[in-house]
Amino acid sequence: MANKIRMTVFFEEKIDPKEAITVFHRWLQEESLPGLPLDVVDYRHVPLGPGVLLVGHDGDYEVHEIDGRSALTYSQKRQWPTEAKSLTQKIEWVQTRLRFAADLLTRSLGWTIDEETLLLSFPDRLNNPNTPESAETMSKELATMEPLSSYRLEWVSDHQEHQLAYQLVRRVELAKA
Amino acid sequence: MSEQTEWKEKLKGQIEPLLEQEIDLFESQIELKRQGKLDEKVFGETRLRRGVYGQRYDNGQRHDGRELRTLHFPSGSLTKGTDTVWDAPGMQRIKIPYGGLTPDQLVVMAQLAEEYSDAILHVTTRQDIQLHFVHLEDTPDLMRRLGAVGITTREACGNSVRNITGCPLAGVCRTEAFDVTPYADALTWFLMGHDDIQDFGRKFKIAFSGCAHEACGLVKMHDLGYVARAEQVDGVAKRFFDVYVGGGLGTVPHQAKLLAERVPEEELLPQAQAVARVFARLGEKKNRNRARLKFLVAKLGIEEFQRLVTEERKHLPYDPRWTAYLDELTHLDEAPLKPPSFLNGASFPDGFDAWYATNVYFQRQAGYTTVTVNLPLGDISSRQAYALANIARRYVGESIRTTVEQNLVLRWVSESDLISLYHELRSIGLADPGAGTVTDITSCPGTDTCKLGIAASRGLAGELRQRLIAQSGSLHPAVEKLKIKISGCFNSCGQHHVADIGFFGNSRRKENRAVPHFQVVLGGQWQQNGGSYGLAIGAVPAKNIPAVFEAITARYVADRDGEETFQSWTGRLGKKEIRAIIQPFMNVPLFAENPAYFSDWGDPRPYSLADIGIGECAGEVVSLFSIEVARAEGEAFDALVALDENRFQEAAERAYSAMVLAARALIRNEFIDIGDDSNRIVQEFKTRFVDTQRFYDKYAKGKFAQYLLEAHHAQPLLANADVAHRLVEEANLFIEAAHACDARLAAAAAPAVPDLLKGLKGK
Ligand code: SF4
Repeated sequence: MANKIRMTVFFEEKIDPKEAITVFHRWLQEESLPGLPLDVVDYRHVPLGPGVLLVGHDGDYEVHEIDGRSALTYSQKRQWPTEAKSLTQKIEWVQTRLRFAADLLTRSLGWTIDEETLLLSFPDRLNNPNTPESAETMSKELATMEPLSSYRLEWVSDHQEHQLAYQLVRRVELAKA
Repeated sequence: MSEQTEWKEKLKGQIEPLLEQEIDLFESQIELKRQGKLDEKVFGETRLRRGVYGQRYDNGQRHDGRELRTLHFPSGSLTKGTDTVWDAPGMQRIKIPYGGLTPDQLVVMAQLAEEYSDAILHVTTRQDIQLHFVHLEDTPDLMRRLGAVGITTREACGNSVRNITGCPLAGVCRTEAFDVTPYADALTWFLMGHDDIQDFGRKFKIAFSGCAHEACGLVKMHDLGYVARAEQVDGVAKRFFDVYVGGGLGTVPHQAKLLAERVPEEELLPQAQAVARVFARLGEKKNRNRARLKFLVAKLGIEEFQRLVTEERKHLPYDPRWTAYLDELTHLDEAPLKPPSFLNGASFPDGFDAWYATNVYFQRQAGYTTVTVNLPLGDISSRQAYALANIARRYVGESIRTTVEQNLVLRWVSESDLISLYHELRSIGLADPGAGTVTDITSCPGTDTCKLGIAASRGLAGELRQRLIAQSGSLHPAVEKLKIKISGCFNSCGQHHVADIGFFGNSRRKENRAVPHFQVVLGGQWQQNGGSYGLAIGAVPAKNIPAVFEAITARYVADRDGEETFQSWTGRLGKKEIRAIIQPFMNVPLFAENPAYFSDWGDPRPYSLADIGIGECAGEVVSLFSIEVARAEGEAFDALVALDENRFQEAAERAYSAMVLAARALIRNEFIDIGDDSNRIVQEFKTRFVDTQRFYDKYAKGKFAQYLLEAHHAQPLLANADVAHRLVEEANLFIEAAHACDARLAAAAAPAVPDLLKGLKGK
């Protein structure tokens, strides 16, 4: 079971998260997003933090920086739709929400998404502890999923205090390399 | 709530049993409230006393810059307190007594921030840690996970004793009289949940300082403050405290008054208890704006207050805990992880010098330093916190503390480790120099998350910080030393009164539009434990504050007489002259000329006051009976759940305990010291309420009282399904009867309502 899922895509260019503040506020005004987004918080002053955050009741969007790369993350925290029961369905749900926001950002600000890498994590330590056993079970399950089949999975950290997370690298790119 | 049950099972036995029970009870109270079986105000105060606080927009509305919108939360109109929507995210305050933390505790809080909040830990000006955007239903699990590492949120908010603060350098400071840590710790646990602090009309803040001259403890702005004092008496080293009462900031700031000098350490706890009892008994309960201890002290005068406390102390029932902790004063002493060492001419990396100059403090123990981890606006991300915990484990072991300047400190860093520590902190963005200087700006949450925020204190703090960092190196040394503190409104949570340059948010109108402003407060004193407060000079549009700061500091640098401090300079210059400096910045241009003035720092929405809500800082003033009977209701609910799940023995025991708690709630209205012993409670209940027939129902007479008396008589009882069922029913009826009894007594005590219709008769 996974009750909370985060997915991240990266931007091709280095972007200024500040621009996201105005865009996020506009999304709220125009009700551009599905779900129940609530407010915008600026955490740009915190390194390794959520950057500019659009916090919602069901899920949050972050425009931030990870290892020097600009990124967009969507986290579903609660309120899964009835049709998202299995892990595959949940991941598809998160991916759809993320993709939707990424497309909006691309249209608003001209930023482009790098399709080659994704991050996927499960910040629910009760059901998804970051142990070798749990990581292996999850990797096996993820490897069989259609939406992720074109990616190779790498377990991000074996430190048990961290959340269970994977980097997904597109196989095509590996083949090219 | 199935996930929550699982954490409950997983952590069973790892939490201190009393704390575990409290959390279970709170979870039951949440369920009761959801079912509409718990009063709104009572639940609100209960929630606050668990540190579960409201947050901006929790009335279910938000102004999006164009219009006020309703936020359509799934639980609809269900509320968790007056005007507070169930699903609306809230703030969880976590008490960190005297700021003391271990790396394991830091890690757990970082995990909680990731799972239930926004992956940010916010250090407050009272050394707490706050998580924002937390859902009410996640709070019991969050508390369990904290409880498993020895942290509680109990009484973090509400009308109770808040986090007890203390110098972050206690025990390593070069100028302290002695280490105040074990005293702050003892008082924390002595007062937590104590019967004598359950009936306050307002919050109660306590601080400890190791000396009188520095600022660390900020004793003078607290309800109750302690300054350590060591003396030789007949050739023996003795420890005392100078005790201050009635300080506080808020809208009407008061400097604390000396309650007693040279209070011996064995009197610390009983005297605090006596102060609490006087406050509970005589403090204002109806008008929350006058309910802090400072108003009582001002009303009575310090001499009368001293007399009352002395009298109260004489009549306190003896408690062995008053002095028991003195036998173990060293149990919190920290052992350094590494041997002492010295830098001894090592070459410094880039940026090290500036950091070393401001963030490193030489402990009184030679070869050791305390390093300040400078947190911008008091924030640290979960990812940084994991890494910092690991760094702490490798360099210092257990010794982390939060500070009232919203930073963290690592104590017992062996001096020769400073360079590698600096590298490691820098790799996670935590090696910003400037701790305690003008760039280390303190700010409350303001309009970011606070319901009462009028202006964006954090937005302004962020802007000033960036500008000042950009000038670092070129700032005049006298300016570098200044303290800036910002509050989002007059309530002063950012402690602007004790800054050299303070600001608090307010609003003005221009062309029928609201314009965010900040009142400029100058000349407060940080030293001497917050020794004097600054004065408001005038309100300036938020967007002009950076320019005002520059104008004031430029004039200070030009005018100052030798080493004159900012505080004496403002005093010498006088209000009129200072007002003249800020006057040119006080005007707001027309909207058409510069619309930027009509939005706040960091928030592009047109500025509006529409989001201000009703504050929960004080909590509702809820009667002692209401709070205590809510515990009985929670226990009765758990009895019902046990019955449902065929745990008959447990159901019966809980039902009995619920009745005892309800009886105790009634007794406590008139006999505060009843204690927890069930024999005594039942005996007192019989004498006070049964024999006098005060518990009697008009129709049922003494029937409900008999439920408790018989259940008590039957103890220890062995329950089958029938017995459990009956007892659960009886417990609920008994609680209802207790409510009715309290209402009758309250009505009888209330002043007679004049018959307003009387004069109209016959007209
Ligand atoms: S000072 Fe005002 S805005 Fe700031 S936290 Fe306190 S009540 Fe909220």
